[in-house]
Amino acid sequence: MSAEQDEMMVALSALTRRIAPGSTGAAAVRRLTGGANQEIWAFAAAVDGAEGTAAHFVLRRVPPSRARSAFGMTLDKEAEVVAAAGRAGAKVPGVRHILSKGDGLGEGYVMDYLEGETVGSRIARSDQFAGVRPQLAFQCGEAMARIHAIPLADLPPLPQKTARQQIDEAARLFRATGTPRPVFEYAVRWLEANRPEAEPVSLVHGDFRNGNIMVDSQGLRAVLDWEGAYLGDPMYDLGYICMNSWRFGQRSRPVGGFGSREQLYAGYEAGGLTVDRRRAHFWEVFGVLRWGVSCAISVDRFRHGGRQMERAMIARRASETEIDLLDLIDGEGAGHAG
Amino acid sequence: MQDEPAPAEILQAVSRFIRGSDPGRMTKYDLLVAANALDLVARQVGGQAEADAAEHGRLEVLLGTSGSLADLNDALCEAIRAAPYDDLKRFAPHLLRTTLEKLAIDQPNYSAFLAHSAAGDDV
Repeated sequence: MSAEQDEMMVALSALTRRIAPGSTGAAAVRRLTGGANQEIWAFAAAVDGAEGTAAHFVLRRVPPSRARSAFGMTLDKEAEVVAAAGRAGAKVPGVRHILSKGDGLGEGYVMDYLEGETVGSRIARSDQFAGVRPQLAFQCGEAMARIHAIPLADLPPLPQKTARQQIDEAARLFRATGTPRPVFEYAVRWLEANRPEAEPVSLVHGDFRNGNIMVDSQGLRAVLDWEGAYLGDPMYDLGYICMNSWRFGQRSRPVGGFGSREQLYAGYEAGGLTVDRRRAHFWEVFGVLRWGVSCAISVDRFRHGGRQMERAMIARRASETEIDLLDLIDGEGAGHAG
Repeated sequence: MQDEPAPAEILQAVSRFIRGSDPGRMTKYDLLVAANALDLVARQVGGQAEADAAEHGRLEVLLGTSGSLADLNDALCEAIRAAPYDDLKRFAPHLLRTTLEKLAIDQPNYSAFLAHSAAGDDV
């Protein structure tokens, strides 16, 4: 173990004793995934030197050694957003502790470790979830209503984005590659012409899709991956979750490959909020463009970030979004959300 | 016009991956990504010339001009940006055809591509 890892273990054990009174320190510490800047670790609170029936936690952090940009979403803000969502009754992991400088672990937060399935293809297709798929889209709609109803005063300062700003940013990003992308230009024209007049502002999750949810035998267990959260039109979340890219081949089930728009909207309205179908359709189209732009700009990241095979293949998924855009704009039922 | 990275770049990335990998830690997922990458390159090597030629021909007719495929696509983008909104539909058949040809190389198993093929759209 490196010196940095030794320090981390010591600091993590000290933290565990504080957040799980009675425990002797951290046990079963393991890294869940790698990221360039962010680390995600799982650990348990040891009791009398053994794991026993101790509580399990997840730490998301940027280590002290790595500088972190203060722009946009920081892990501290993310933790506050997740905590606010939890207080509002949305299904999210419980936030146990937001790191402070004195913890010696860098910037980040600790949350409860949850058990459940997060692999989207399994949620959409596995027999194991055949019994919960009929309720799942409704539950996602209910969760969205809780999130969108959170009073802005309960939230830390977050980036606020209008439709115009988001269209302009997407256009700027793909045009900066220097490669002509006629289908994206065509989509920008549609988006500019169909931009909603009203611009209500709520907390928006920003990446609520099959792939970022946890499901168990009761259905929706948790909404994960809040780093894209911002303030804007809540219909974004209702459109985004219906993107074809997140249906794992189950094209006839728009919501995550597991449910219908009617189920999603029914859950949302059962949660006390109103669906604007036209705006949801707009944001679905925007979401497809935005994901396509991410794929297209990953060519540069591939070339200058180590030429990793997986990144090359992501770059080649832009064409999926192009057919989805043309189907949404010109296909059968184009313009009719449902 | 096919997207990037180019076939040679993808092949290099796969060989770098193989050379740099630890057999004990390689997953089935990694192997499948590599296999998909190789299959994509095979389809592109086999199909790009014909797809590009067809696209080039359509663009010359659509735009009433000539040039390289990249130049024609630049001109198409300008035309789409400048056209009156109600005139945009005239680009749709070309855009659809070009996109389906791209998907035949990039991801012929994509649900939308399969749906268009089943509907009898020319690919």
